[in-house]
Amino acid sequence: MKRKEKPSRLNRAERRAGLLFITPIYLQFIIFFLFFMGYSLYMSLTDWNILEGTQNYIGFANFKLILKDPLFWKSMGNTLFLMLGIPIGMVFAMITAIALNRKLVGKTVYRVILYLPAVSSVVAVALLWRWIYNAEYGVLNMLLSQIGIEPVNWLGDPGVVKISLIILGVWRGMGSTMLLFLAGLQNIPKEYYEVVDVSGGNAWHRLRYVTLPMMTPTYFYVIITGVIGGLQAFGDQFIITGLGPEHSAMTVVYYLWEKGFGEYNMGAACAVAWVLSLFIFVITLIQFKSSKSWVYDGSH
Amino acid sequence: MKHTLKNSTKQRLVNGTIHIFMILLSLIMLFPFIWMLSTSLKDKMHAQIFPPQWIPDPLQWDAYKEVWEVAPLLSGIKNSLTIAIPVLLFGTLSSAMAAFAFAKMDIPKKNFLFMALLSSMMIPGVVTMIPQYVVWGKIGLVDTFVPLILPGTLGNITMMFFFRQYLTGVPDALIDAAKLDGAGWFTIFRKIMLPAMKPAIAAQVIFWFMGIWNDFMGPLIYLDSEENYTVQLALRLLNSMSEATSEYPMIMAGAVISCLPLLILYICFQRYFVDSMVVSGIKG
Amino acid sequence: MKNLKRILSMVLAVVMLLAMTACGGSKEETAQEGGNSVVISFAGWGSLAEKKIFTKMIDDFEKTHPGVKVNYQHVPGTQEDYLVKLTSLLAANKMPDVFYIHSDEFFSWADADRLENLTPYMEASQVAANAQVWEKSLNVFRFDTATHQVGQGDLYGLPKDLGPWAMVYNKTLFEAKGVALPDPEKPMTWSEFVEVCKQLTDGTGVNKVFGTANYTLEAAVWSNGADFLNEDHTQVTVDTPEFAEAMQWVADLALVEGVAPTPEEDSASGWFQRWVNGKVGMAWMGPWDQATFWDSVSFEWDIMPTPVSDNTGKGVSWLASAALCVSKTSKEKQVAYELAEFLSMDANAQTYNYEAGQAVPNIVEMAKNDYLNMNKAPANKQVFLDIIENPEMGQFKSVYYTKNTTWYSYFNSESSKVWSGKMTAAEFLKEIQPEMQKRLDSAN
Repeated sequence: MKRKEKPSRLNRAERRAGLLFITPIYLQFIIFFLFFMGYSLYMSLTDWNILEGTQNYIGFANFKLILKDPLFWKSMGNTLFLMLGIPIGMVFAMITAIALNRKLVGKTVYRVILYLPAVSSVVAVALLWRWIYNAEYGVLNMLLSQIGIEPVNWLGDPGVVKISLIILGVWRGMGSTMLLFLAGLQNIPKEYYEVVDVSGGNAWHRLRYVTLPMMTPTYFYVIITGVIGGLQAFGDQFIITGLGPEHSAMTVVYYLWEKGFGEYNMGAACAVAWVLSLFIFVITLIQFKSSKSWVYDGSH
Repeated sequence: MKHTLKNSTKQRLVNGTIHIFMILLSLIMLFPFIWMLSTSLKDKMHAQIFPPQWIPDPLQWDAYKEVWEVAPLLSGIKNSLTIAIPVLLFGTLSSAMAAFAFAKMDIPKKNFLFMALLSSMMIPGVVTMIPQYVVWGKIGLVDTFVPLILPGTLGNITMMFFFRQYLTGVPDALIDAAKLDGAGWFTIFRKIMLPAMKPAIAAQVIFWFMGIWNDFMGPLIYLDSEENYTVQLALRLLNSMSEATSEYPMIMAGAVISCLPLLILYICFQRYFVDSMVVSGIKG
Repeated sequence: MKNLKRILSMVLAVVMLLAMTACGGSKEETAQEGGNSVVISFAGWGSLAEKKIFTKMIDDFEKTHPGVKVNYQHVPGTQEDYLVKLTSLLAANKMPDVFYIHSDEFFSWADADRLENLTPYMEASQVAANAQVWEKSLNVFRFDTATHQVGQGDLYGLPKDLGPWAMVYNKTLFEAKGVALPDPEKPMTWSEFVEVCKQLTDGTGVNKVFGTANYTLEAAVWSNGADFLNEDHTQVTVDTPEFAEAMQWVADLALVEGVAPTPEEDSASGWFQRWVNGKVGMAWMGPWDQATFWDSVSFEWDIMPTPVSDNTGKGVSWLASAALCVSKTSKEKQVAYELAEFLSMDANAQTYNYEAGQAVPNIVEMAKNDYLNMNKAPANKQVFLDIIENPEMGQFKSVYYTKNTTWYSYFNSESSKVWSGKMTAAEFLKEIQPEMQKRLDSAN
């Protein structure tokens, strides 16, 4: 096909059809994304209060207000802390993926089980863990007490709440990370392992010099999506812990929710959303820049 | 000979260790589900006794009968399906069309158009959430399913991305042959591309269905009246009772009911999940 | 692949069927409406028991007002969930014609000009003229648009009820432990209270019986002569020794005396569950808890006067109310007002409401005679009436007087530092005062 030559009639027809094909998704993009992005940006510059009905331009006052609010920084800190779950989940997922990347009876069963939590609904899972974590009647503390460990206040102690949420996050997210890793492992060409075998390497060498480096694109993907998702954490907190004692479970999106629906201050809520987007953008950019030094890109 | 024998014993040993490890891990992963099921089959008294009872005695279904009266789960299931069906039907079609265009057709500024779409995946949904809500309110469509259905029917960028990845693996020769036969682009799409995409479509539709079924934030904001509640909102009604530990059998029964359809769907189609991971964005 | 196709088409068929039945259902509903009737909407929160009672009261309203149909929208969950819902309805221009506003939130809603001035409607109404309701309950929902003050000016809401927060005790438990029952008139002092708690407290772990559930902070602070805000509600005054002493006393009930649940124990199961299980000697309740207690409590119980601080000899608890407000944007304001008035003042509705164990009646005579003599727990209903009537015994929370409530919610979340024993009350209050002040200033 020589498509780059002067457009023939056939070619014009193709272009027309192509544009037609992407029209619906572009309609969505323009109406529900671009337009509302603009709307939201404008709103973040106003004192839009839904109860009072005000909507005046106030410049960057909302941004100043947020950035000076210790509660915003606390919620930011909480959100970042919760993301510790990403590396923890990755380590577990990697170990299980390597274990399952071989001929093994019952492999499918294990795979199915590990992915089950990801399939279950957010609300059901939140309700379930709220019950498991109950300090007195919760099964977790009951089991701990049977082996002589003092009961832990999983949801009521500001120092513990976030750890409880991380455990829940790892439990839910590990399965899908493992599936991604498994797919990545299967894409590693067999010849690379043969090279290690021929030069007398052992299992450790295979892991160290082939598996781990060849998987870097997958790590990269998991980290990027994990960070973008993690920065938007809200559902678990909203149902299980609320704000938590001393605001210990308040995430950025929760902070936004409180600003908008608790204090009626939609302008400030939009501003929070923009600060968050900017943050995500910068972090993603840093990850992309730094990826050049550690992500395997196909060359040796 | 000796070498292989030694190897196979070693293999067995490794496999055995892996089995032990995986069984332990599976038990840990399953433990919350087992506890959910176990609690839901207890009576109020036995849900709160020490040491914990794994197999309920007496075993009873009362919680399952009760929960339908407290939380409108049945209408919730209906409503969730009412939202999911049009979205999946039209949204998948629109995503597949766009993916086809981006993968196989010549459009001006193709790369730019494609990257612009992808960039929107990076922006958190909360940015547009509040203004969207207000505009839907102004049009008077809050507390209807329209805000939850309409955007979805126009497509899903993640899905489109996956389809495009998948289609790059489909040989161009198929299209060229069809073109020689004088087929138009719509015919090519319908007769060649759609069938070729079937496995990818199956996987993605299931994924998306789960997303819709499990969506909490959207319905929470848009739906007000109880008769419009989706499964997740109906389930959330039970959360307000969780202060009373004696209500947990019923709450867990609700959780089981809401998870069951997805679990069944997942176990039946689990192969497609793995496939869809393999075609996913890692390679691109 | 063929298999998949078959399964998918089957799933699709089932789903279509379900969707069709769903559509069918809604069509029937619209067919039943119609005619030339007036339809108004009414939103409120509350327990399932409350929902049942209000559904019945609304039925009665529809019977006495032919041609009027009320859409009752019950928002489940907490008061906060309700406010979020109301906010989103507001954003969507779908305000219900009649809706609850809690006294804590009344200021901001009245000040934002979202509520209809009900004074003219009330002056024209015969029902209102005949019904003698608590003066106090009407005054709560007055707002002066000129001075931006609550408690004076025109009326912007009718009281749903007046909710006094009183201490309740488990009579059966007292008798079983051989502890003298609280005097129905003479309140205990704090030191007597702690002694009683110690006598009641027993056991460990899950089976521990506590002398008292968590002590309401307002009741301690006010009784000790302190307050959250100054007289004109512009200064946060939590950093006084009296406030610190009261807060520390409450914290020490759990931390030092061990007679109240620690935050850990409290998060495991709330006071309500402990109370129902008979695992707590004393707790706090409002009249709206009566119905639930009648249903689920198997022991005898009664209410008692608020314990008094040893320093002041005063015992003050809080009093709250919810208003039935009419939306400024309502198209049927007269009918909406009549519904609010009916729920607030109609003798039959009020009788039904108190007999169902939901509230103390708004009508003074009814409260002082019929309710007081009702043959159901609590026996000592006078305590409720005292908290309502006597300003020395009951007052509104400080948030009622301020437009923004974030200074208070901030305090509530952070105060767990004291309840867990991480900080002393004095240290904590000194630290938090400036931050609270900043929040109070930001919206007024």
